[in-house]
Amino acid sequence: MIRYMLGFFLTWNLSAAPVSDLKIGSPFPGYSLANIANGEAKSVRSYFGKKTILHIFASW
Amino acid sequence: MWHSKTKKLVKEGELQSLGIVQEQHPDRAALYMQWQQMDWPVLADPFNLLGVKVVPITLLVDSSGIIRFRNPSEKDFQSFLSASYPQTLEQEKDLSFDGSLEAREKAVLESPKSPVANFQLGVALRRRFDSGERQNADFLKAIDSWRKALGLQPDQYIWRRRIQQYGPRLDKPYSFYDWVNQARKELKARGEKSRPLSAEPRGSEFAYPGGGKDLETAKVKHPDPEGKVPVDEKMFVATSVVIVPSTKKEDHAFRVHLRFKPSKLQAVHWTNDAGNVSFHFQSTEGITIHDQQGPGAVPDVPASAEERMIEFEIRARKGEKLPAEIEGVAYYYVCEGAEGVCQFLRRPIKIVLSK
Repeated sequence: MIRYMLGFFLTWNLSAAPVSDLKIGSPFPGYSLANIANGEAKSVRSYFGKKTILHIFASW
Repeated sequence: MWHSKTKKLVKEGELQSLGIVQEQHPDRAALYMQWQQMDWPVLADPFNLLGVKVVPITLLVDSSGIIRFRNPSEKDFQSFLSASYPQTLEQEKDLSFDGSLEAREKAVLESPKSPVANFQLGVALRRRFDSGERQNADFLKAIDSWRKALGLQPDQYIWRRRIQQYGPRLDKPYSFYDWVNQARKELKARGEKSRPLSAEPRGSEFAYPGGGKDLETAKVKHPDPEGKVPVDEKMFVATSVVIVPSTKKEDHAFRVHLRFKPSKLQAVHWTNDAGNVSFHFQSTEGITIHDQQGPGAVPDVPASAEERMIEFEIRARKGEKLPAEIEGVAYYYVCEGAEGVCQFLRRPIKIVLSK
């Protein structure tokens, strides 16, 4: 059942609408995002490994 | 604020800084980072995969990737630094996302009423528009997708900003990319080369007038009041009209983006020594025209075939309602082929303000 639900969740993310609520106590979602300095895309989670202050922002 | 507070901790290895930017053009944030002399890694989330509705958001994340604080106070920050969090042994699976236009179109076909799918389709369309693969209608379709998304989920501020970026100047709650010119000036003074931008901000992307003109339409002389200039029947110049309304319902204002590109297929080029593209309104009854910009300087060569742009804002005259549509005419000098005939042509353009 859990495997089925996980499979459903991943399929849903692929096709339609990935949304996370960034709740306290939950793991940071592991999307692969490109680094603006060099374009290299890798999982956000791969950046963790020590305590991190993470800023979500826009330059406008 | 946090940058100066945490700089020492980052240098000593006790903490790391990471950024995720919520913009259509993340390389602008790279220029911003260079300007502000901030050298921590920043990742791009143009599709808003994180689903955040506002920025800025500051998170404190432990070494296992668990979010411990959101928009922390100073006290929270100190408690985060001193806390010992358990290491999570099992990592959750990474989530995949296909940002290609094909995948985003498929997502909308599968879920036409999904606000997220519509927003992300708009992002993919505008990305293609800013690439070498541009199709004429991409920008228009991107705006339509974003408007649909915002209509379905009006509280999404990040999406609203994507429309405002191209919309009327007064719709912008604060300056947009006005900092870019200042950044370049200061970087030059520091002896640094500014990071290049893939899509130069222009026109509507500046919240304050960027040299645009408010037209006193009554004083503008029409070059062809009787319509004697021949119409460009052969479509020597491809035109696109993108109309972006204010995101505020009470604002009767639209930003209009006109683009003109000589037909490559017909080997058409601009005749630069004859003059530039111009646009004239047939009637300005009930409207005022503001911040008209473009088409820019004519290149210093006899012939060229680059895209030319004209932007302006249309607002309702005080106490009046905007008309459903406005007619105008574009005029241009073009030649067909190297040895072909050169002509002065006109292209009637209808600006539809109500759907």
